Amino acid sequence: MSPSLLLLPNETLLEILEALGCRDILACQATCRRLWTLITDSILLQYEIELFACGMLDGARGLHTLDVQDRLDRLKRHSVAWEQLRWSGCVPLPHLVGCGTPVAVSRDVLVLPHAKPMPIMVSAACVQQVPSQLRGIDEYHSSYAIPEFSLVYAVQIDTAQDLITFRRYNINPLISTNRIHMCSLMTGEAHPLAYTLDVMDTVTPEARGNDIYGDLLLEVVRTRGTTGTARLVLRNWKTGLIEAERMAPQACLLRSIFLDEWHILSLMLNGNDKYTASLWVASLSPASNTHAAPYVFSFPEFLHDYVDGAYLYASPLETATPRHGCFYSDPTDRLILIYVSDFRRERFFIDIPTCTFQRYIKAHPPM
Amino acid sequence: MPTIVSVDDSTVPGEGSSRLLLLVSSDNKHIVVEEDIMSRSRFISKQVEGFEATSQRHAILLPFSSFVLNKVIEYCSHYRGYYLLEDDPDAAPPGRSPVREWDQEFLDVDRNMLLRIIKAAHYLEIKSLVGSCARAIADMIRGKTTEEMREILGVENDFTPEEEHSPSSKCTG
Repeated sequence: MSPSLLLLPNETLLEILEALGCRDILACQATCRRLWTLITDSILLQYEIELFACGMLDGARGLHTLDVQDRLDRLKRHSVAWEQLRWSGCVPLPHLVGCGTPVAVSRDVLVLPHAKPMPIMVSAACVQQVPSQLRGIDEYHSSYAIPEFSLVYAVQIDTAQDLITFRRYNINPLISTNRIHMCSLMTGEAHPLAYTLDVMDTVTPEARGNDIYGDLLLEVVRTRGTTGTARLVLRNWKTGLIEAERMAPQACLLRSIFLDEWHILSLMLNGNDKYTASLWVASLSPASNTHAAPYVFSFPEFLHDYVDGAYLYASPLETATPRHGCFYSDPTDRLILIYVSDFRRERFFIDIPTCTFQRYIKAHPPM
Repeated sequence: MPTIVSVDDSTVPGEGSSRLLLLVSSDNKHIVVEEDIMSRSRFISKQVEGFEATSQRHAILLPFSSFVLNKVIEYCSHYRGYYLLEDDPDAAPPGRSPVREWDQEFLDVDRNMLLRIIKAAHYLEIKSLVGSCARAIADMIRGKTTEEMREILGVENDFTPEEEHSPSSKCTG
């Protein structure tokens, strides 16, 4: 038996652990009691783990005076607040007259289509801020015109970058085209940093979903006529360069695409059996196989509706009827479900049904 | 048991004003080294302060082998006269030790040797070397599974089966 690292004093062991990433710290923690205690007792390491679990990055040091313990406490309060919202925190949102169901969410901002009475084809996007008692934010909303918003789909927003991106489907009997638009979320005008995406892909409207992560824009491209396969194109939206491409598995429909630092995540509807869904995960690592085996995480009680995206049964704690809603993932790694709880559409409720699947993925990364 | 050898100041050769130290390793090898090379070590510096207070110089016994000691001396010789922030007792400790290319090559040794060096560096209180070794050990276990880590770190799984399966930590369950 070679000499054990545990012969080292605690401060030296901590120095080794502090040089590791969170995933490795967690693996170390499970090796033995000594390391488990050492890691759970270290404020700095606990802070790293909490940041990772929240999907956040540490702020710049020196700009504020909070020490690590303060930061950890605040982060924990934030986490607990989120977790307590999980099943009980339905937040009623003031209904905006003339607005449909939300089409995009990022953190606590929603985008809703807003139809103006005349002329019928001209419509607007309404941006609504979700109120938060915890952070003292009031509800507010504003809207701007997006011509023919009814022909727009795959809307994604990123509040941190003041970005709204959507595809516009051009109905033409001979050739149907798509164009990706990158605009400022606040004004609806062309985003100053965006590369002009003049790419005209011949695709069907089935190819839904975009997602943004930092500079990356993920597009799903499904060429009309071919069946079963879709291409996922990862593009830098500031330069227009394609960074990576992945093929989706055959005979499935990809919906609700999420992008994070390491993966492309997508709800995969299995072939003909549209009543089962699983999570399809592709690694963004350049070394990984582009035909990586789907990494399946099946959703219990999942039903799919072709037109509206997704139905998800209410929480196990409730016995209500299926609710109309759509999946979104926000940058803090929470899976957010927004649904209309009554069909007269008088009020929207926001529910955060689970945040476990992202943690599950991170703890069991696809190989 | 190594004999304690007193070092006579008159034996110091004329190079600079640096005096010599006699270090004795655990395998009883006597190694003579210039004092200012070893001044990076807080432990040695404290010993030297002791010599000056008592005007008595004697050999310094160290609990590791000459093989490891020579490696540490090689490190200290390389950085002779260099200022390294981590080794400054008056400076605020840096958040993470910086990557130094020379150190990476210097520490390209097997796991056991790395362990011996980090222990020696800790004993001698050479913070910069401890930091570089810690980084090198971290590089060895990065991306490994818990089982592989146990192998590399040489630790036994001492959890009870119940503990192992309980969701005692985040992200692992």
